[in-house]
Amino acid sequence: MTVADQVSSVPRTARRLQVRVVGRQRWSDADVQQRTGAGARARPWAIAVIPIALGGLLIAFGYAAGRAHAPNAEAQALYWAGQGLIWLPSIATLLSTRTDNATRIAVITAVAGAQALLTWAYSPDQFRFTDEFQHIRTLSDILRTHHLFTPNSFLPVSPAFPGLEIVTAALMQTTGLPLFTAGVIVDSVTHVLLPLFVFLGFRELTANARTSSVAALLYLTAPHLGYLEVLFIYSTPALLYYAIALRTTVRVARSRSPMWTLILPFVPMTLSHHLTTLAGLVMLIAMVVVLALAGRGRQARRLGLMTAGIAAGVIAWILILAPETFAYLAAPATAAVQSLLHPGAGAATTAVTTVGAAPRWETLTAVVAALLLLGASTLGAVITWWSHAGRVSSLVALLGLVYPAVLVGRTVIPGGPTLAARVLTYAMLFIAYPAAVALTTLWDQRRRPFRRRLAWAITGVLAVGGIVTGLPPWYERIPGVYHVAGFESGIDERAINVGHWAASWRPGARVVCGVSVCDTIGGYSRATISTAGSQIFYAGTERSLNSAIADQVLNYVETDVRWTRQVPLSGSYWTSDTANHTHPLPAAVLTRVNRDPYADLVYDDGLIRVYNTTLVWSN
Amino acid sequence: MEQLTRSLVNRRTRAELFRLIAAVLVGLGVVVALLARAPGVVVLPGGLLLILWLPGWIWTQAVVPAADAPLARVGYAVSTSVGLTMVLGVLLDALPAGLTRADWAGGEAVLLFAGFVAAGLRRPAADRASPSVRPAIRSVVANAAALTVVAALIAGAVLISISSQRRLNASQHFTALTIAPDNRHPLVTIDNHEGTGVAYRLTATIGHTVVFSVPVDVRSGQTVPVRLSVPSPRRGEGLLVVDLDRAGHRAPYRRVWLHARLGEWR
Repeated sequence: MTVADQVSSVPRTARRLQVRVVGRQRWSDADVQQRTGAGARARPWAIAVIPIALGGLLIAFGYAAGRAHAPNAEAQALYWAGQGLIWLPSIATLLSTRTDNATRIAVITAVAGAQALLTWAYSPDQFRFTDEFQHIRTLSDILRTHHLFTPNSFLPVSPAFPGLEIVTAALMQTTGLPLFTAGVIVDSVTHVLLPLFVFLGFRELTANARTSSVAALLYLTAPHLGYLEVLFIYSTPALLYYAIALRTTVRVARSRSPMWTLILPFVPMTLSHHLTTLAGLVMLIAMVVVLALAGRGRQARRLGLMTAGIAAGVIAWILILAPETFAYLAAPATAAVQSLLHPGAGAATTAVTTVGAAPRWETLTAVVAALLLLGASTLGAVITWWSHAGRVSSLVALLGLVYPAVLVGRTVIPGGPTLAARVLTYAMLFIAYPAAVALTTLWDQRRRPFRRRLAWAITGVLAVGGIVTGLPPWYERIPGVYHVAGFESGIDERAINVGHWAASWRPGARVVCGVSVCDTIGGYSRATISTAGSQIFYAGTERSLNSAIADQVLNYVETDVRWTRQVPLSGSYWTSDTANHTHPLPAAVLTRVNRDPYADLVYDDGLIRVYNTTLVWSN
Repeated sequence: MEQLTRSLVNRRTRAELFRLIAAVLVGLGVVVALLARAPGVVVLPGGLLLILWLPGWIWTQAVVPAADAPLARVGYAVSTSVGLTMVLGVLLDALPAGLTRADWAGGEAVLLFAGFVAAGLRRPAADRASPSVRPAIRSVVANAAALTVVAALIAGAVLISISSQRRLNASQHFTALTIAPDNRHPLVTIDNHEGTGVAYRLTATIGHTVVFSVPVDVRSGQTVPVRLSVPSPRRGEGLLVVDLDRAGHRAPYRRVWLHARLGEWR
């Protein structure tokens, strides 16, 4: 059969594309179908992107309303209407059997693009999240010294994983772009490509574009994928290579790529982020087990050897450049294991804030979404197993059953919700696949509109569940209101200004400061943030105040009049604060610092004051 | 070189060869522009191409099989460029000059050339490229129109976000006063974020004696440094108080101070 014959044999809907095949090669049916989306409704793919962009615009209006201090309900309505426009049409488009491949790819990348746009729109003039300042510090060190691995007291493991900072520095130095713009470009580009490679990876596995695209969309509903993993933090570019590693692993398992190609995604991944690299190694180990169970022992042994080699390289990198990484990762892991071994020792806690609990509907949606995802992933694993989709595919679908373990950890471990959200960034890759199988099976194109609506609604709830359990938290989902010790909401112009001013301090100057100002000072200057300095604010007398300052060898002390007006969001005004503040700070605390005869007042903006306290202990 | 030439000519179609050579030439042009410190209008798109596209695209020609999906190849081109830049950064770190603009330019040029050689030598003949399709004009026009709408919506979101954030920043209305120690000439800066120009008076006193006083007009967004000229502290002790006064405010609008240390304002 000639190429023309093959093309003419595809359904009439696909021929509307007026496909013209050039060359004299012979193609399999799968080739032609894959390229043309035969059997699918061929429509201009860009039309499917319009509601997503409109959703982005509505949310930008919501953010603007928040900044203009419009009624919260108005901003919230715009926000959720926008999210609805981004997700609901996209879900229907991807679940439909009539959608062609180009539209599927356009939709999943556009949803990721919308997430990147909204992350930028949330803070469109500069980085404001705590972790971003830690990486600004590493990047600033690279730009200043022109070399890597300068120690960073703000996040000691950061310089050993400089992938994000290297690319941003390269972009800044070659284009002349400012730090914020270059960083946003790197983050956005890598995030937009992420679902593309998830889609391609699952399509390698399943040869089914519909299931793969739904799996890619479900992956984007993981709690941190919509915001945190688009920020200027080291895991953002690493995740792209995690997804590429998925595709490469599947191709290697299918003997479509040589074994050595597995090394390629692990190089930039190792240069970028420790945890993502470890997750990538876990993925390889899981695939070794899958191949062994699928009766492909020789391939499993070869992949096992390659995995061991890659692991050796990763461990060597960490041992040589960042040995503190082990301790950094071990602390939460040990706490998690301890709490699992001794369940009564601590209960799972949600983030404690002084602004009250999350709205009831959000809590309820999060629970329902978790249960729906559990049901869908379990059902999908069963369907894949019974449908004889292939041993490897079926076993990979079984990996989705890791989700119950995540839910147990979320419930049992102290700080479980935070940890579970973090783990889902990686585990969701495998949970999404069986869940997508279940949802695409549920969606019945020909009959039973109820099943279609159900599949659409379930996916919608999963998307909302991801938003309400992710960041920003509900109390600062709309920007514009200042919160003492908030994440982005605590970083206002005053905090940014004092951070830039502190850039002139001598390296290593020790400072105690409020949570938000510590972020900007830590990011913009080369100062060392005291993690025990909060004790000075509990000093009852001038003598004990000076004694505490001397003990901590503090060069600077920052105070903020707003501490006497607001309680801090997390209960703590300062880093490693030992108290849980339920009332604003007494004014006497600030007065005591202000009247210290040895402290120079060197910065005053009406609310924020910075004192040079070197004289207290240097004389 | 002979093997490379033979390989390139034999294994590549003319179009592939043209694209490869064009990519290398464009890349080298950007490198030259960077080294020559060309204006931003050249360097901005050139730098973006050099860091995010060209090296990855050329290396993708060498590594990624031709039968792979076209979109996968686009994705690989960008991700490979980003990954190669990371590796290049680690290598440049070993050089004495480190990560500078010139070193990036040189390093990327080497990457481009090495990729060109690898693409010529390694990749087998393109015996199974993806089927090439040409969509209908109607579809192209519809996509272009839809993308125009999308671009307009995104532009609207961008403009609204930037303008609302600017308004929020401007609504804070504050001025920061700072002082940096120096024996006879402490440096004071006035940083105006009031959203409007303000006429201030800066006054320095030691004890109850005014030792320095000047009017200072500060425009909105402006930072004005003022070098004070004050006497050294007597007997090694004293307190230098600097007030920023604003019309309409009875108390000092902002105040900073320095103690004398070892006979100096430091």
